[in-house]
Amino acid sequence: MPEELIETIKKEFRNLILDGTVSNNETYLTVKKDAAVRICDYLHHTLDFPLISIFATDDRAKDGCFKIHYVFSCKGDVFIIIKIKVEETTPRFATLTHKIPAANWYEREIQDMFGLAPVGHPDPRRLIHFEDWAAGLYPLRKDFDIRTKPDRVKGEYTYRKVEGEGVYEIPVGPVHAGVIEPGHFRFSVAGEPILNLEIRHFYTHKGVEKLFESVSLDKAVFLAERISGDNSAAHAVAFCQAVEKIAGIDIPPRAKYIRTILLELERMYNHMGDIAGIATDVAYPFGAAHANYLKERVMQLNEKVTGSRFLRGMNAIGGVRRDIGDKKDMILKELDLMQKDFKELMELLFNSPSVADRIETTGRITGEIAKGLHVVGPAGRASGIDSDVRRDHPYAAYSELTFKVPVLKTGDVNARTRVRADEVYESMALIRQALSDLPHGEIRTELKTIHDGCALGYSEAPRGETLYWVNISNNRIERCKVRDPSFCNWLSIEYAVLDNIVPDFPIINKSLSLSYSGNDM
Amino acid sequence: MTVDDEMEIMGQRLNRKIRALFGRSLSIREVDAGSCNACEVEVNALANPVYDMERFGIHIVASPRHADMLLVTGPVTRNMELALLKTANATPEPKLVVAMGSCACNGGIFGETYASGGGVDRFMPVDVYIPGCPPRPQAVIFGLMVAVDKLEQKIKKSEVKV
Amino acid sequence: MFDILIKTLRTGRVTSKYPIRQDIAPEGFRGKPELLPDKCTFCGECARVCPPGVIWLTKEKGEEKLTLSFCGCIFCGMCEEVCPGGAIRLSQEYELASKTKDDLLTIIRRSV
Repeated sequence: MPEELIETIKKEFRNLILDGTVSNNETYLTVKKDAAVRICDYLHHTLDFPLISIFATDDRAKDGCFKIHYVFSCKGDVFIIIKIKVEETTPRFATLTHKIPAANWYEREIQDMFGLAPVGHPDPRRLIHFEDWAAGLYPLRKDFDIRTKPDRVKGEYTYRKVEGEGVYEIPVGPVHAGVIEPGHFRFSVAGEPILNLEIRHFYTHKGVEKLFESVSLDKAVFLAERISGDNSAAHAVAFCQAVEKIAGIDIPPRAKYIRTILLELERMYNHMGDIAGIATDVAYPFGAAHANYLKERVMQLNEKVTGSRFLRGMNAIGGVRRDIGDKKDMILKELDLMQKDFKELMELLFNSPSVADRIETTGRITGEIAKGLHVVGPAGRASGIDSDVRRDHPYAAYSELTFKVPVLKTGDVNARTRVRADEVYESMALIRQALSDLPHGEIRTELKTIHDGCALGYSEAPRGETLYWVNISNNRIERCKVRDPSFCNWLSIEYAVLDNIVPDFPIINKSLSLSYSGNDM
Repeated sequence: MTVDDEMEIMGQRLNRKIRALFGRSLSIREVDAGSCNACEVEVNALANPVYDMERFGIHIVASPRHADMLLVTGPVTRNMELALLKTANATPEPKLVVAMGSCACNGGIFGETYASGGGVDRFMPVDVYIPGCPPRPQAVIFGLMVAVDKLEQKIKKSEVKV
Repeated sequence: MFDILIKTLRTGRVTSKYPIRQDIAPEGFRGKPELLPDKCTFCGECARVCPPGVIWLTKEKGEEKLTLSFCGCIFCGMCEEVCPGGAIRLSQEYELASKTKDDLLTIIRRSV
C-alpha cells in the first residue's frame, strides 16, 4: 500500500520530488520549494488525506537551511511528510492556507518562532508573541538562548472590526469569571446573537518546545505530561512512542496493555468532567453534581492505581514505571459500579427537556468546516468525521482489542455530548478487555543507546489526535514538535458560535473541551 | 489524644476562624498564570460534592474586587504577567496571595525560560505555598487553612499600625 | 422528577469528612519525598535525574550536604527510582503547605 501510494505521487510530480526516504510508517519526500502548495493540495483534495501538522526545523548548522514539514495522515497506517528547504537569505515560503484552511495557525506559528514568513497568508498577524515582543527574535532558532528575557517594546494588536448599526463588542478575558485557563475572546454582537468571535490565545505560552531541546530524554517525558494537565497520559505515551520508534525498541506487551488502561481511564474522567461542565452550563445542577462525582471517583481510582490523580509519572521510555496488575479486581469492581451510575445519569440527562432545549442545534459545526479546519477528537466525530488514531494508526494494545468509534452527523452540542457518553462506555469495555487479556512479563525495556533519527509519535487523547515529531541527535532532542488536539480545534469555535446567543457561548466552549495550555505551550 | 481527635479540633478551628474573620465566608479569586490546567481541575474538584468547600464558607468569586485571597497557579508566563499584576492590584487589602502547585511555587518543571517567569514570588509577595503537581484537593484545603491562619496575623498587624 | 429524587436518595451522602477527619492518601501515593540519612551515600544520582532540578548536592568546609526542596518538586519519583541505597522514597504525606519556602527544604549532612 505505501509503495503504490508513493509511486502514484512520484508519477504525478516526477520532476518536483528531489528525494524520498522511508522509515517505519513514515515517508519523507523532499520537494522543490515552489511545488509544495501543489503537492499538498493534491494530497489533501485529490487523495483526501488530512493535513495534520506543519512545522519547521532549524537545520542551518547541518544543511545550511531551514526546513518546513507538511504532515499528512494517510489510509493504511501511513504518514507522508512533504519537506521543503527554506534558505536563511530568503526567509519566505508560499502559504497553503488558501487551499487548506487548517494550515492557518501552523504557518503563523512558524512565522513567530522561526521568522519564516508565509507569503500571501490571509491573516499574517502575530500569533504566539504579543505586541510587546521585539521584532527579529525567534525563539526556536538555534541561536536564541532559552534564558533570554527580551525587553518589552511598544506595539499594538488590531482585532478584526465588525461595524454596523447596533453592533457592539464584548471583550472577555484573559482572567475569566470561572476557574478556567486564560484566553481572550472578543465578541461582536447585535443584541444577543453573535455576529463574529475572535479568539486570542497564547497567554500560557511557556516555551515548551524550546525547553524540550534543553532536557534529557528521561526528563522530557515529565515535561510532555505537563503540556496539557488533564491529557497527561496521552501526551506522555505519544512522546515515548516517538522516542521508542527512533530507538527501534518494542516495549513489552504488558506495558502496552497498561498504557491502554491508563489512556482509557484518562478518557473516562475527561469525558465525565466535560459532561458535568455542559450540565452546569445548561443549568442542570443535579446532573452536574452526579457527573462531577463520577469524575471524582475515576480520579480517586487513578490515585489508587498509579499514585497520581492525573496518571502522571507512569509512562517512561521503554514501557511503564509501575505495574497495575494487582489492582485488577479493584478496578473491575469500581468500573461496574460506575457504569451503572453513569448509565442512569445519562438516561436522566438526555431525557430532560430543559437540557435538550439548550443543547440541540446549539453551536453547530458543519462537516465541511470540520474537515477544512481538521477538527479532531469527539468534536470532529460529532460532525461526521470518522477518524480515531486508535483505529487508523493503532498503537499500544489497540490493534488487539475491539471497540467502536461513535460518529454522529449533526455537529451540535447534543452530538458532542452523546459522542462523549458513548465513548465512556467504550472506554469501560476497553479497560475490561485489557485487564482480562493482560499479558504476563516485564513492564519496561531498558533504553541503552539511541541513534540519531526522527519519528512521529501519536495517540488519541480525550480531546483527539495528539502528535509528536521528535528528532534526536547525539542523544539529545534536536527538535520536538508537539501538536495538541486543541491547536486544531480552537478555530472551529469561531464558526460554532455564529448566530448563537451570547449565553450559549459557555456551553459551546465546554462541549468542544479545548485546552488552552496544550494549544499555547 | 488520637490523630482523629486532633484533626477534628483542627476542622472546628478552621470553621470558627473563617466565621470570626470573614463573617462566615472566605472569597477566593483563582488566577491561572500559565498552568497546565491540572491545578484548575483540582480547584474545580473542590466544588464537587466530595470536597464541597462551600461547607466551610469558602467561595470562588468572579471578580478580584470581591476577593480576600488570590489563588495563583502556573509559573507566571510573560504573556500573563500583566494580567496577573492587574488582578492583584484590583484585590482589596489586606489580601492573601497563595501559590498553588509546583510551577507557582518556583517554576516547577518549566523553570525559567524566555516565556516562563519561574514562580509567583518573583512578581509579588506570596503568603502561602502549596506544593504538589498538582496538589490533591485535600492538600489545597490544608493550604487554605494555613492561609487563613496567616491572614489572622496580617489583620492583627495592620490593626497595630492604625 | 421522581427519577431525580430516587437517584439522589440512592446516592446518599458522598462528602468527605476532611479536614474534620484525617484522610490518608492511598498506598503508592506520590507524596512528600523523604530522605533517610543513614542510608544515603551522597552519590548525587538523585540530583542528576531530578527533572525540575530541586535536589542539590553541595560540598563546603569538609561537609557534604544534600538539599531537597519540595517547593518545585513534581513528585515524579525519579529520585526514588535511581537511588542505589533506597535512601529516598515518596511518602503518603501531602499536607505540605507552608508560609515560607525554607520550611519546604529537607537537608541532610555528613562530614568528610
